[in-house]
Amino acid sequence: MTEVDYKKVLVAEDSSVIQNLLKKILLFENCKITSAKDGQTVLDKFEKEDFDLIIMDINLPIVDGLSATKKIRSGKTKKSKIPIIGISGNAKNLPVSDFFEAGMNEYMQKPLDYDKLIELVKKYTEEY
Amino acid sequence: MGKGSIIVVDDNDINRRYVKTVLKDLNNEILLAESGFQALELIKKNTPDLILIDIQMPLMDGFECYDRITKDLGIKVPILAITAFSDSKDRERFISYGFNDYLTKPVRPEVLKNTVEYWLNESYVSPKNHKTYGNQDLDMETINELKRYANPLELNELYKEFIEETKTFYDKLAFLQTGDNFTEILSILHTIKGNAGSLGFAKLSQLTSTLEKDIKNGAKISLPDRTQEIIHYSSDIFNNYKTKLNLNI
Repeated sequence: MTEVDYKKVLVAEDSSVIQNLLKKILLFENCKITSAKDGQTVLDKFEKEDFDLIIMDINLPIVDGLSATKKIRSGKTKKSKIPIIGISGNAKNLPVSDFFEAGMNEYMQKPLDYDKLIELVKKYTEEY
Repeated sequence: MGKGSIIVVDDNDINRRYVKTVLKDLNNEILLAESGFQALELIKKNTPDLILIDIQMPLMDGFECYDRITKDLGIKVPILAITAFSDSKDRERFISYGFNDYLTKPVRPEVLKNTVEYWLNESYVSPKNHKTYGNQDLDMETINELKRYANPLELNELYKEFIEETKTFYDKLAFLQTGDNFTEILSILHTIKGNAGSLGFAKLSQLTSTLEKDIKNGAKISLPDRTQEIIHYSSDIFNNYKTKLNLNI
């Protein structure tokens, strides 16, 4: 693996604790993390840069994770097919099918299972 | 991973075949039942890994079928509802009735497949969310997992940040409880619950979760007392987490 061969992951999560936690853990997988704390920032950063994967919390301020996912999926370019892993404490008790309906590839319920998360990150960054 | 079977209960032949076709990649055996009665017979012979039930069926509808499977047969596998209903009241009804999930017709193939796959995985590997910690302060499994990804120094930074953030939340809660700011209170409790759980503070996560539920259900509680209980408990655990986690550095 060369030094430039890292994966660019956009982490959308409004809690800085979880942001930093994910940063730490994903470093293990040679990921370069960009943070976004609300759904609008996710969309803005997604427009400007190319990422390999998005990890998206559902309860984001301004634009929630489901709306942001739908917006990304509504694009016509190859970029709009970026893998999205949803994470949530599921405060509103939404059915899991809603997350997939919005276009997420995977969903993980909080508290996070880190091994499982790494497994999913590997799965999607390797095939994309 | 043991591959068991999926039972699809639907009175409509086309729907049954559609579900079977979409799910065939999962490599589970897929058994079709035309009615709740037939489904119960199949389930008695062999407990499946997952059950999909259409809600609108003649003679025995999806709710009755659910009751008989869970109460009469005592089966505890994921049960998903498929329904043509789609307004938001109905949506809540299925989950509160006990269904793990529901899918609204017409179901797109990938939504059906992803949802079924999610629940199959949930039942194969017993997830953290369904674990009971009893009255334990810490969930050592989560903490040990974290220790594999971060060294004690880094971990300590994360815990310190969590504690600082949580304390700020407590200040906000103290301020909010004087008014009717339930949305904000719930949102804060929810964040604490998630963060505490992710860092292995099992009991704190549980305390906030219980309060969150009580507020949502409109239970008669004293919010200041309950908040104080959580703050009091936290100050204990926050003061000696380093020792408990063997993070002495």
